[in-house]
Amino acid sequence: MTMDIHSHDDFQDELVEFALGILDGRARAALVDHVESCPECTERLQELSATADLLMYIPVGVEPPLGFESGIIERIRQSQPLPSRWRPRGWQLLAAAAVVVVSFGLGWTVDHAVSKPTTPVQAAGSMKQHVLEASGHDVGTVYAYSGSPAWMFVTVDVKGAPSTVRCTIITTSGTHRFIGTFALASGRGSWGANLPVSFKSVRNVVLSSDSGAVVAQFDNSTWNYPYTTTN
Amino acid sequence: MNSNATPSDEALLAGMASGDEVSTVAFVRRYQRRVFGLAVGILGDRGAAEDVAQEALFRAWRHAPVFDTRRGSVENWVLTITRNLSIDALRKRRSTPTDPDELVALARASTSAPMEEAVDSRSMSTSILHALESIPSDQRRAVVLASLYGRTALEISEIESIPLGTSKTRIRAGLTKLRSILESDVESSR
Repeated sequence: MTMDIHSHDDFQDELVEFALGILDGRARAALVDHVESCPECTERLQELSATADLLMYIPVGVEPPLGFESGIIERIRQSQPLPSRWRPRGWQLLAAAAVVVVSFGLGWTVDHAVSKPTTPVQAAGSMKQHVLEASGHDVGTVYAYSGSPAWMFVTVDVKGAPSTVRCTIITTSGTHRFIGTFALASGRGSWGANLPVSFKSVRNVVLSSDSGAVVAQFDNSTWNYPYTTTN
Repeated sequence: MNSNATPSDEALLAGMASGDEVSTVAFVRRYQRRVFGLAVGILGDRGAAEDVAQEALFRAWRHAPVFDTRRGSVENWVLTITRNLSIDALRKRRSTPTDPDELVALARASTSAPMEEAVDSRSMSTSILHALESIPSDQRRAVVLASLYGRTALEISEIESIPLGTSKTRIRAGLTKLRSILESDVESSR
């Protein structure tokens, strides 16, 4: 973290706009840096955010059209065994397939991965894709490879994210395992990392700031889309 | 269902996470009016709002296993998902949202009508409406444009034909006053 030369008086507009969810990426990053070291602004932000959240209660409830309830229940029913909404985009498949054949250390980025000598993975496994989310928005993808060794490949694009994020997995038994620290440029980044456990044992992957604030995460318990790699 | 036996939001989420369809149906029934109402309020289009509301409830089901009660209420979480999806849809369609004044007036008119929301939700609606009506109109418009329609200070300056600095001042003053009024209401009710 860089030294914060601002006082909380410099951030009053930004605190309000952040609480309302309308602060742009660069200003957001500067504010987050400041808030992490300013208890007064942290408290102020919590107060303003609570007020901003109340504004969602202005619109009154409206009876949805006939068939709404049965429609959503049916969609959920169909999604339980094998959701069908997702289809991999071409570049995502290419990126994911590329990392299957590269050698890797504990962590690597796309640029590094494609420039290193490659060694085919011994056993072909299946790859699953998961949506990475932040506040209800899709902000990236996690590709999980179940072969040996198990690994994952993450792409993320989060406005206002810090320049580095800590990646941690939470296993189904609740154990937290730190994977590594990865750099983002303007909120964007891609990297891969070996997994210390089978991906079947991973319940969540969490990206967080140095202070522990969650930047993005995904849930591995209900949303699996298996497809087998072709190499 | 007996009112004494009504499960909490957290219990319904836990049921959904374990694949219990009864919990899922109960959750959808509990929130569909609020979610659809918020989407309609933001989008002003029932067809588009139906798509957003369906997606919001679907995401709530999908992420039920990882909901963290320490980070806020279930209702706030579901409404935040709905608002964010609505704002995304609004931007994709490049459509004009409902005028903030009309939205507030409609909400005020509706508070006298029978409501099926929980008492807590209705109380919050009434509180925030009272506070909103207590601040200057230009600040009220700015705050609603920002919070419900995701408009930035720059966009609000263009919509309202005012300088950016004025837009920022209205947003800040509006939300700060809302905070003060709501705090005073809480104090006076003790």
